[in-house]
Amino acid sequence: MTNRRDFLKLSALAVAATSGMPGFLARAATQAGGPKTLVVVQLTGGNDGLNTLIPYSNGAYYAARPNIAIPKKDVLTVTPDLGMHPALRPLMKLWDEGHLAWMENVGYPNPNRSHFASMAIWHTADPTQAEADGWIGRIAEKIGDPFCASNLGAATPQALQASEFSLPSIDSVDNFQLKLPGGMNTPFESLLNSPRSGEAAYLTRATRQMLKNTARVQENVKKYKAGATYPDTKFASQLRDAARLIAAGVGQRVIYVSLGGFDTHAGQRAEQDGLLGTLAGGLSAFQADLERQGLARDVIVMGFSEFGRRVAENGSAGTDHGKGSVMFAFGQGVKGGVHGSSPDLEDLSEGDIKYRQDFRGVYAEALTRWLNLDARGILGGTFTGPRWIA
Amino acid sequence: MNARARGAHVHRGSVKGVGLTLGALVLLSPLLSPAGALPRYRIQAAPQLHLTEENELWELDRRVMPCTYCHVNADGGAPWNPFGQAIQATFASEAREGRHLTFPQALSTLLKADTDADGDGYPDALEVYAKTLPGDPASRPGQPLDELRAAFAAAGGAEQFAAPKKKAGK
Repeated sequence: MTNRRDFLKLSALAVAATSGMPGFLARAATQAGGPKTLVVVQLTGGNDGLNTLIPYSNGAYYAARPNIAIPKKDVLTVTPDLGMHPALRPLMKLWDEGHLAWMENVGYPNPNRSHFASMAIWHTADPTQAEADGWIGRIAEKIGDPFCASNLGAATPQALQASEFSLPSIDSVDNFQLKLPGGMNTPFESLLNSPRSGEAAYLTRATRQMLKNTARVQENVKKYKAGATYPDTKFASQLRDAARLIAAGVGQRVIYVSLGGFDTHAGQRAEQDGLLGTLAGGLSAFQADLERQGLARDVIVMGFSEFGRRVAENGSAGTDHGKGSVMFAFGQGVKGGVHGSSPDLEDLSEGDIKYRQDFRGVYAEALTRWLNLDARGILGGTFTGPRWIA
Repeated sequence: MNARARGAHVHRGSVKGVGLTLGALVLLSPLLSPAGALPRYRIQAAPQLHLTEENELWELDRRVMPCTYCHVNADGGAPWNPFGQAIQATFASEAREGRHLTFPQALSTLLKADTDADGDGYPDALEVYAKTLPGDPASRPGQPLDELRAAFAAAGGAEQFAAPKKKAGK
């Protein structure tokens, strides 16, 4: 008898057996799934929160950063004390509409300044580093669907690893079709036609069904016409693929995209200013696309980075690894505003801000009130956080 | 033949075998990322300084641009050697003037300044050109200074180390 765990494992293996084709394309819309999608944006490298959501009324900020602070005259004011980095101007429409949320001062207990360790903590939602599975992988297990989430990019992040399988990674939606190595078509067909029993028969049936569904889903993807002009960046291209997947109706509950380069030890302004522009340009096009296609009501975006940067600039006009930072979220289902209090820049922990909101509370809000899932079961505990879902 | 094709070929007689092999590849894929590759700053600097020529695997070869190019220790990290400190100082001095440079721009700016960080008598740009370490006085070109300077000028001078133009986010 095949239990749920065996089913997930077999399904994942069946997908792998079809040349590693992305599972969700094969699965199509046949699995159960809610209509709502969460898009997770990873800012890799440790985005500096203080130069993203700027405490422009705080003299301690300017004292700590004489060469790299964002001048008060340049910030995009959102409160009497805070302003967005000027490169985020494309997101101001969302702010003005009340659909852009900033979660201030987010972190976790016993902060780790290692990229690898801290990213693993955010991916597994486990600051003790005992958990190996990713929180999105656990979503897939909870839903009972190994194809309900995908990463857009080369390698699957730990966040999308489940105990028995890895959720698919997609380099480019256009490339998703069955492409066997030269000379493998006939052996592959023979393999599918061979009489089998037991698990092998199951895999054969699953493979044929996947091939059939793949063709259908590919047709849906091809029908997509962008509702907005995306910037010419790799990040925007990933977001365009995300919009195509959502528009194709393939039942994606979580889509994961990444933008790297935020490890700004030197020359931070030149690096981060450009990256935030890339971020905002891609995200605003994505939102505009969803709105024009009538899909915006069912999609929200949540962004994070593995840590923030130290409060004081270093000797290279950059900043070194810090602790807490900001998170952001937007969409018609998001309650806009600044959630949580800003860090006290005159009461630091080893030169870093003291976090006040646990990131798992931010995750919990998305899980419970957007995806309608059991956050406690997925996160391994009860975490309260800002009420950022509308 | 790529790894995936090899796996499929070896196990083509068994559906389960194919699945297991390729499934394992999927699970291993994060481990196959270029974890052993050069760190980001050297990925930027090595081609800019023409240290990668005729080496297709340069991104995986730490000898192309050792840590001691800018750091004191062979494993990198603090402290920085005189050339590394000169790069840091370039970032800071330019930022004080309101000029926010990227790493390639800072490197180019420093090399154009014609300074000699390690004080061995050979300016940094000439050491880069001669493929010696500009932050280590024990590492210096064997060629006489005037002769090297003439060859450097004939090759294009400091302009050959100009920052490449790139679009953000690409």
